[in-house]
Amino acid sequence: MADTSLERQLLEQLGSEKRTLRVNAVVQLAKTAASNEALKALQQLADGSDRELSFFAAQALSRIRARRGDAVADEPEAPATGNGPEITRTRLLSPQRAEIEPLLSRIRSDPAAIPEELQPPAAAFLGRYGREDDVSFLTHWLGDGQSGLIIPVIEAIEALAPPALMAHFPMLLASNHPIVRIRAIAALRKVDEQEAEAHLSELLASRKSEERIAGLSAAFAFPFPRIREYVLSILADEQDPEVLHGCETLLASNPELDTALRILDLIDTVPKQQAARLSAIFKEISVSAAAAGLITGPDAPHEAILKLWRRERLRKFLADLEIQIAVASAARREAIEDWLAKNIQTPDVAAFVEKLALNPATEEVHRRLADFLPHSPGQRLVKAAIAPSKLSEQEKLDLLGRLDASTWEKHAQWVRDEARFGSPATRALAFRNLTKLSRDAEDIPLAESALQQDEPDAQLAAFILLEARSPDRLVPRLSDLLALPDPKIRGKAVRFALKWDERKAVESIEKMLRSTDKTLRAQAVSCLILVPFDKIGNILLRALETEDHPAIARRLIVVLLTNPSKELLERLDKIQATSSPGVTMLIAQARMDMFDTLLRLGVEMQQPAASPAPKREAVPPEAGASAPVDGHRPSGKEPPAIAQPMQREIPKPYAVSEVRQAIRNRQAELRSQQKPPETAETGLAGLVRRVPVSLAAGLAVILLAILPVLLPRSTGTSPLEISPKGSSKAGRGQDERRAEEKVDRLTGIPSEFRMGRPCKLTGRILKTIDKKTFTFESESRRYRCTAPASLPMLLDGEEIVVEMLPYRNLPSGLIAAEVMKITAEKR
Amino acid sequence: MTTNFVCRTRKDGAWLVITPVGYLNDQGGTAMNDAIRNIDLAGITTVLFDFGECPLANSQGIACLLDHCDRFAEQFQVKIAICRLSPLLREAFSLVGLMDMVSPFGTEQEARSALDHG
Repeated sequence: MADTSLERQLLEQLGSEKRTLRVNAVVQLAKTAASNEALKALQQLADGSDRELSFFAAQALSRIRARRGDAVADEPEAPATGNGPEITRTRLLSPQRAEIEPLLSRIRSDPAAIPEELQPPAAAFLGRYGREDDVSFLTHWLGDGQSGLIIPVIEAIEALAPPALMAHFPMLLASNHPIVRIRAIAALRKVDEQEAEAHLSELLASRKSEERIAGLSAAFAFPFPRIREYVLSILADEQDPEVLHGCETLLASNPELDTALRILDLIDTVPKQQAARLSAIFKEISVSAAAAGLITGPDAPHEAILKLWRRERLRKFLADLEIQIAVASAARREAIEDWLAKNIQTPDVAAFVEKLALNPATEEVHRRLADFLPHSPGQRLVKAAIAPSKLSEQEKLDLLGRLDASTWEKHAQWVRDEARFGSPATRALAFRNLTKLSRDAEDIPLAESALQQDEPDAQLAAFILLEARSPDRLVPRLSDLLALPDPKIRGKAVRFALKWDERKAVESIEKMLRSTDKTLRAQAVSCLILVPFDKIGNILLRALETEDHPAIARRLIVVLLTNPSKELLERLDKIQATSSPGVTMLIAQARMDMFDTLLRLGVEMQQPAASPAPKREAVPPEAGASAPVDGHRPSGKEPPAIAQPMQREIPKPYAVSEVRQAIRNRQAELRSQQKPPETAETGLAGLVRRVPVSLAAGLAVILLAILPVLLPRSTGTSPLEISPKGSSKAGRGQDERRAEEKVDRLTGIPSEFRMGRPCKLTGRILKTIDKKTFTFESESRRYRCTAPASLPMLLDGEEIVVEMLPYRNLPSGLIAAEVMKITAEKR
Repeated sequence: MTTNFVCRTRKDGAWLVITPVGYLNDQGGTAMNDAIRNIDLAGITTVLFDFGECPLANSQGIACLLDHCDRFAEQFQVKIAICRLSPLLREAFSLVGLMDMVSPFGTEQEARSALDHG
């Protein structure tokens, strides 16, 4: 039986579909487990065909056995020879005292002779017993950083000569193996904590759950106050149970009352299903807070924290809620409304709901909740009652809808009265009639007065009247109009302001963006989205650097994402850390989204990764820059929160921006290799039609297959040689290129080796290494092939056809290749 | 940046369906203006924008769309519906208040069954 619940949990994780979790479970078992059940499970993995898991399991077994004092099993297949003990995995992982020196001598005498499969245990052995100069050959074993089996090599180099890792950080941090990346981040943290945290935030912001899980396991090594912000950002939307569990473990391991209170804040603003997930996490954290002695008393821990939250956090939470309502998605808004309805009897909440009526952006929410209020304000009814006409509301609206030039004179004064005293709906319609039918100067002051009142529909109609008849009257009011919470009037005002005086409009919005008032900043962003991007790109980026409210930062990011460009992405890359980790995470996600969009738009995204890094100019502090005054936040021109040197700074080779570029190059290359050559249709138009195009390609393949049956043989032309209908210049160019190389006619992939390009090779399997990797020989070249997912069972010596992307010559003489497809060779 | 934007329009009874295809940016906005400006709206009660083939719109594109929606609503008093929005467009349109002016739907079919029978 497993000794503890933790051990049981880890044993369950061994069956996870996520490789990172399985490896992590093995590593954790090595540290904590001692039961026979754990040994049995690890032994099964050690004997398995997955090389990575097999090695880590063998390493775990040797540690557990050493802890238990078990004797190391003899290896009958590996007897000692005249040159000393034979080098085997078990011997390297659990050497007898007398074997250590002979093993060291043998490895050092010819390190190149150590077979690839024994390099990981040999590295683990050297990490324990080696010396600094062993690093000279250990660094060669790092290969291209794309295998989890280099973890012991990294650990050995770090143990023997940490500076030797510096040169390899870019490659390790760009690895597509999350466990390699987190190990590199852990090593980098000892050298450059700030940069390591930036790499960690990239992992945590990843769309791949395995990378987020890996990031969470690495996060334990970083200061908790920073990490907590990242984790809380993840929790709002995360649905993967294993990632949520990782968040819970991290938060519960560092129990703090504030964390529990922050989760309560979150629970009330997310959709119900997510709230249920977060509630479970909240309870776990409450239990660990109680265990740490942070809460006492007769109540259950979570009840005690709930009471505390109601007492201390409600007002702060409500203040933030008003902004959240204005920017929330429909599901989130519904969750907020549910919560408000549930708590409306609380005086603070009731007062808050009443306040929502004053803000047009939240007025709708107020209307839906008004029936739940302890007493109804009924202000609108009072206003309607004092309207001059005797007609019912519906009759007034009907009449206003029917008015035309022939009936105008008769009703003109009544319409003006309605525009002045009517209900919001009749006022709006009355102003529309005045715009359409009247030319009287009396309408202008009436509209100006309506602009200042808090009735969005009437304001909008009054704005339209003034814009049509007296636009100069709008100009002095533009600053106020831009700050109005109603998006329709604001949108109108922005477009008017841009036509009237673009420079002043932008200045005015920028001033709003620097306000300490969060609502005003949020509205400023909504204005900016309508301004031509070349006028506001810099303003947005500066605002993003200083913004600390995630909802406002997300608005800024939406504007950036709707105007994607390579230059903008480069500038986004340079925003390293902001004052809020939550915002930093949003920026990391925005970079990924923009990169994907640019790839889809057909923008060339590859850049030489190892080229001299572009120089980055530090932002010079302006003279006289000081703490915020006059209710304004520091502008981006002022020194950023993180002090930067005055002189030009060359990015470190392991800087997150450099590593990100390497990863992007790999993704861009893969995409360009996988993408069929686009001809007439490029860019987004091609993208949005890709599905129909793929369908057409499928049909074309089927047609090609049945054409020999359909076409009369007498034509003397192979159907495969028929030019495609409407073949273009580009099509002919492709035919010419095909004539120069052997090409598979169905897939268009050449059947000759080409480095860095897809090719389709026929050959035989030399050796299956694990579920994803095998060595392969074709026309006197040997390849180390890696597939992105588990391969079907392959037999050594089997003849196969492999569609692959060869990308690197390995020191072993093999060529590293990514497998795209495997088929059995037809005999 | 190549976008190959086109704006398809079709009338179907009392419905005008406008389908922007590609990146609705400055040039896309101009193409949209050209395609929509001279359409005779007599008999049209509902205008549906189908964004299924337009996953992205920039500032000028959104401003152009707002102008058209304003015109449809103010001059012609037609119902405006919108369907097949990408998540990013939904966010951007919410930001400028466009979502308050239009009725959003998943598909054209949903829009028709809601607005024709609603």
